[in-house]
Amino acid sequence: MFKHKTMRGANSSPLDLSSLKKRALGHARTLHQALRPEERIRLEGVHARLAGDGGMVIVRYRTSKPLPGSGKGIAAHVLDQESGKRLNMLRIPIIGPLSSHPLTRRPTCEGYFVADNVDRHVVPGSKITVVVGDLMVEDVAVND
Amino acid sequence: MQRRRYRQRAQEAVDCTGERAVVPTELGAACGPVKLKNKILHFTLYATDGYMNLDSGAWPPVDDNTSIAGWGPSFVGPADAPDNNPIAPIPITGPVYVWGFTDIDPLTDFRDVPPGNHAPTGAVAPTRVGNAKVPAPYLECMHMDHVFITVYNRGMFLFENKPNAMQDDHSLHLHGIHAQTPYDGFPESAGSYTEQLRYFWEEPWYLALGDGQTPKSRDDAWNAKTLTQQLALLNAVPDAQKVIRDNNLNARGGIPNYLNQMDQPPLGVGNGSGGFIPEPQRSQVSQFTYYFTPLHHGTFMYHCHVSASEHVQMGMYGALIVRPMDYVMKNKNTWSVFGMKTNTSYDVEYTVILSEFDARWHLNIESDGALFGDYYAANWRPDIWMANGRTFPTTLLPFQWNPGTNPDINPAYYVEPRYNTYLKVGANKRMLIRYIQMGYQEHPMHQHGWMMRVVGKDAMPKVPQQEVFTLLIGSGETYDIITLANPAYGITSPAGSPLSMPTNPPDGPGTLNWRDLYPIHDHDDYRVTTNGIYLGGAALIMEVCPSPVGVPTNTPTFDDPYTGNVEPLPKLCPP
Repeated sequence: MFKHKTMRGANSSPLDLSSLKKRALGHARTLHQALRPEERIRLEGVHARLAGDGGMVIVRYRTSKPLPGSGKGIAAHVLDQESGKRLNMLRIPIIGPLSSHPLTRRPTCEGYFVADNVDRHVVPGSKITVVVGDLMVEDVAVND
Repeated sequence: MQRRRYRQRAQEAVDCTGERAVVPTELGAACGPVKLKNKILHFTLYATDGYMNLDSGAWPPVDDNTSIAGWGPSFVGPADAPDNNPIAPIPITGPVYVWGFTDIDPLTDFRDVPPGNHAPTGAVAPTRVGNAKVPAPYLECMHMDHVFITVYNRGMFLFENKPNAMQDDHSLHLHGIHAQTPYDGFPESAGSYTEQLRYFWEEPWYLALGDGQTPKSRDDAWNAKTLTQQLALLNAVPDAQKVIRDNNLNARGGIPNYLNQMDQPPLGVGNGSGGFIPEPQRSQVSQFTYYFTPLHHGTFMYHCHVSASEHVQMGMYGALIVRPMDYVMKNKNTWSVFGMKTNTSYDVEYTVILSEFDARWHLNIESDGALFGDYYAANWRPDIWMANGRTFPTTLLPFQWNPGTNPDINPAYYVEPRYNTYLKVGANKRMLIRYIQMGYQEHPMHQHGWMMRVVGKDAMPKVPQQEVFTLLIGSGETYDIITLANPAYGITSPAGSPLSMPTNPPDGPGTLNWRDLYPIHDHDDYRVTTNGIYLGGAALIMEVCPSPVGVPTNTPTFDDPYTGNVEPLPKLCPP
């Protein structure tokens, strides 16, 4: 019979694994910030374009190194700099979130996602901030 | 039996009154004098090469490796991987080398060879490439029109400096049209066909049509005229001013190549001493005019049939639509596939050409055999699946081909809304999708959201019509399917189940606000990828954009609190 093993700390009470995870993530962020600028992962080659008759924004991007977590599809969104409106990643029935990930699950340097612009906040020429995971790029012009 | 039923139906649709037929038609013989709608059309096409970045446009820039998701340096592998190894990844960067037809003379619309290409190097390195359009220009005509298509074989400019390589003949096969043998585009049976033809499109009055500069503008202006106007112009030309020349295929049954120095007349345009015969003979020899009268209406395609296995794979195909005689573009009530009384009417129309690329074959051609030198066509294995030459997410974009830089060419010639693949339909409206399979695989196209009604196959009415949710489309087939976007969930019925609980969703993922979006995709789901990147391939998105409707105030329930706090209707996109 499988017996669930619980990690126990010095006071013999079970440790909260989710908080451990959060601390690890925060530690990783700190580590990332501790890197020299040229060592950090950067968003490059970000292009944004209206699609779906103006109701969507396709964002394509490249990163300077394989982006951890990109193998499974990464959280991303867009901020309209003029209105402050957040455009979330578009999800459609069955398919789920419209973003790319390699079937090999290996982190990759490039990808895309589709943001939901159904309210047409973003128009050709709008400036947006693209957020991919922990990476961010501002002043990306949206093409038509 | 089906053909007889078709003819009966076609006769019913003909207006049997009016002017006497000057140009005799089959239906005229059966029906007496008919009101002529059988115009004389002319189209000009050029066969050449080019590059495409599967974005069908200048975005992203052609030297951007992200133009095709996965088509970049992160996918690397041995350049000399054996072509029968299905596992070895391929070093692919940048745009794809293609061959294709275009309606803009490449001699006026050259393109730069993009960075990251795999063209021959050294003394024979290319300095320019052609402007091939993939898919080829969208051609349409009416049932029983008289259609002339002049095809110039301008050659593959990537190998302009390597004259012994790759400068093939081309032809034009009108798939399903059943043209006469010399005009069927199958070189093995066309033989060295020759005839005297009146080239009215080269006469001075025709050259002054349109903007007077580009063949496409002249053809567009000519094709827009009524038959009465056309006949008046044709008949006004005195015999001495008519341009009458030979219209020849070469001994191989193909159109000679403008850049092939090796073939002398009658095979080609070489002069026997490493050069070319002079103009205008060089252009006149390296072209052929096809003629056909479509005997039935529906969805067809055209493609090159010289070494078809290779030329079709390289991208030489396009859509050819024949509309019924009662079709009037400005009157939506007349829009139908086979005629207004045939239960094939629609409100919005899309044409989707499915196809696939095996990158190794394109690289082998582009590098003139330096890459994948042992490529064997029987081991063909595609890694790119496309809808109208594009992969998701660019199937969400308005369609356009890569624009050129010549300011004398109308930029509208690089845009083709009839090839749009973002499928938008109003609630309770009928959407027609014309599927054309120009690749080599069968595609089980699965549509979410609604059944699709199969109303036509291979340009013949499907009787009885059939509703399906998955349609298997084989190579060389066409299907016409009509979807009625009714009921549209969330428009006539609010979202959620009777057990859904009211929530105050965050402004982010998980909100109950939703859009009426449904995918259409190949149900061989590995093909919904682009070189191993998901989501890609020929995935399409269909969106229902309803007209404003009232918001329901209550919902069907199982006696649960799903009232009052129900989420508002999905965000409504403009119809």
